Amino acid sequence: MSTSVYSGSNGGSTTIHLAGEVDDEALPRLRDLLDELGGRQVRRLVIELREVTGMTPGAVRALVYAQQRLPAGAEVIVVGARASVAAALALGGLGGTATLAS
Amino acid sequence: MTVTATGRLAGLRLAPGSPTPFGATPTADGVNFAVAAARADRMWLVLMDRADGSVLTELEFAPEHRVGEVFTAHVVGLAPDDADYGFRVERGGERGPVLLDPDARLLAGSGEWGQRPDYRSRIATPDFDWGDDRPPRVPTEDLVVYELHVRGFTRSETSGVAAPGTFAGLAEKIPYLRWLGVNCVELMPVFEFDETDNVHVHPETGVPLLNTWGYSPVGVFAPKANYARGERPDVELKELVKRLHAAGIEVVLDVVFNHTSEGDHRGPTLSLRGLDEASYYLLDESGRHRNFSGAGNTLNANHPLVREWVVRSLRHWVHEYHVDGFRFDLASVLTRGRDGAPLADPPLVAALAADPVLAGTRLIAEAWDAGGLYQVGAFPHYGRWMEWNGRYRDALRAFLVGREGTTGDVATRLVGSPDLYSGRGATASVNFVTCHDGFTLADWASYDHKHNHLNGEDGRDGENHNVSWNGGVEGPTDDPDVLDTRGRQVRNALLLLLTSRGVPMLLAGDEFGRSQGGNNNAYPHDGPSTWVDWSLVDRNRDLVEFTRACLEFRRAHPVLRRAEHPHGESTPDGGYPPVSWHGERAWQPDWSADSHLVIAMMHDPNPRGDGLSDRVDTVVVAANSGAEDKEVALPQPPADSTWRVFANTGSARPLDAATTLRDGHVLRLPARSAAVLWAHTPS
Repeated sequence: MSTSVYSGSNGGSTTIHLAGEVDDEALPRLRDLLDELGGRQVRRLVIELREVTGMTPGAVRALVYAQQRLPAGAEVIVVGARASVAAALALGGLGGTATLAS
Repeated sequence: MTVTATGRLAGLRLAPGSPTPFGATPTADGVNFAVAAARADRMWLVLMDRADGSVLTELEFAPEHRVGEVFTAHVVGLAPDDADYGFRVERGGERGPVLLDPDARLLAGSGEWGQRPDYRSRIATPDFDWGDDRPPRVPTEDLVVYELHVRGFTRSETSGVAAPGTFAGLAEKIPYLRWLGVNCVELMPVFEFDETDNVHVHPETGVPLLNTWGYSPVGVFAPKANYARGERPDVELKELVKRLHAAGIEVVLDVVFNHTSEGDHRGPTLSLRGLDEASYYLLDESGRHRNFSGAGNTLNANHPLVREWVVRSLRHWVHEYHVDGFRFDLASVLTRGRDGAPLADPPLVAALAADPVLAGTRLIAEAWDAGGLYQVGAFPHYGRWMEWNGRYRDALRAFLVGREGTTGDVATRLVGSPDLYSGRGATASVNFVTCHDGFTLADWASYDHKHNHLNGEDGRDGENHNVSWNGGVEGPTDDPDVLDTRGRQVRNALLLLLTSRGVPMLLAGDEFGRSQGGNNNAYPHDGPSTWVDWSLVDRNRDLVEFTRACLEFRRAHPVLRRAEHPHGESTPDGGYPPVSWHGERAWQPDWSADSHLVIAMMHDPNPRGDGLSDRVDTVVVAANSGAEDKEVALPQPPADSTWRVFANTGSARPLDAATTLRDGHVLRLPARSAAVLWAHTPS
């Protein structure tokens, strides 16, 4: 599966869809997309990972960084991360600050 | 017991040793050796010829002299300069290679720079005369950090020093550092490292590349031997520290405790692996190395044995070498537990914060690691730790290259990042735009993309997210408009950095336009691309003078150095608030996504409050990162004062910009420029 990175917004809620192997090649696209979010008043960030097969530490770090840039009180919901991806997110420190949903 | 040895070491006597201190410690009549090795069955002390490292004798530690898991021996009759040493372990009937002492205060055998080393531990004798050396103890709010690589700083013949590329060479540049106005040097790794430890080759010549930066320690108690002119790197480093202190300059060491040079299972067995791999390193359930450092292995920093080793090392550098602080490479690794998960209350980080010997020294975290952990603003600080503020770098760059939606973020960074360091003050933030990782400042303004093909990894290494802009042409050009834009961008970055609250850090050479040709990960190179070219000081004299003037301005204006975050509320007497924000019209900031204008007026509302200043101090910092020229109406200066322009990068002569103010309060701020003004009160 090739990597896919895109986002959609609905009011204060933004969803990022990721698919495939989110590796260092996909990282610039992911970071550009997350940078764009930094300028918006996002109240809820949903990270859709159902179709993600793997994620490098760089990609995890980009998500952690994006989470930190959200306004105070904004929530992050990670959806559909398979066990290996959820483990990578936990090692990246996202486990304690994001809600993991199946 | 008496052991049999040959030659001049015959007749040594092994008596019971002391389990502390670890390592080799000269005594009145010999040398005490102590080394912990939980899983060793037997241990030998290997004595080696100091000249060539050949083994002279191997003396077994007596089982009855073992204290707990510590093998001890007091070798009576051994003088420190009789021999170098190592340890050999037997486990399960199998004897391993000669190991380095993890507490070795000196490491011999590194050879000339670029030669494959043949390391052995050397017995150190503390015989340095510190005279009346005292730590400068620069107030944190006054600190200006200057990051440099000891070898690269003076290795070029353009440095004009007598001992290029050494501790002594750096000492010869102290007058320059004082002239520039920095008061703290942060030395990239000076622990012993193997500069030949790089598997990549130069893609054009096939010559093996190096690990010039040294972020891969072989020993954490021993100074890098070939940073010395002679045979005593310990003495030469101490001499450097002493001379820097005499000049009022602090010394912060960049230390690497996230991994070692032993790599993963394919790496060499130099020391820790042979002594107690499972305690020193993070291993997974299958015994494989976890790699949160990007370098193959990860130190098990919160294991009690390792924790104590790290604390011991840092105490050694403070006590023996009088250093003033540490910057911890990939410090987030230090917050990970046995299973690799981040700990809320990491014992090592807490221990360093509370250690009585380290009290008063600086602890600076690079608050991320290669495992995805990113803790800027969230590193467990225990009221002590400062951080490299990566978000300051990212925000300033994004704003200056004209990205949309960046004004609010950069404004927060200019006043010390109160969103990240609430309750800790602005001085928790080490602000920087460039550091050794990534582009130099000149390259940030000259390249859109990294150019790392000479690093031998097909250009894959190094950061892809540089938030840089080349001004219209990628790399070298003689287009005057492009060069003008780049010159302004560099000055914009310097001016904002050096007027921001927090502790500013400069990368050596940025003040005179040092380039690495667009290489943003130059660790494998040891040549003109990484050696500081001192001829640039003359060729870019105006830029050096500009930087120096910014530092002088910072010193002259306490309002820029306040440790606390400024609030935006007016004082009870109706005076200006500590910080207020403005736009094209006074008191009307524009925080919209397409705004490129940030204007802060910083006002010291309590000038006689705590001894920081004894006069009203008001400074305006204004930046226009857009492509259009702006005219902005500044707020009225405080009573009885007038605005004076300190610098305007939009002027042909940025430091001679007095004429840019119209009607006493209208500032012309050309496209992509920044200006700083201050309220002048006639005396």
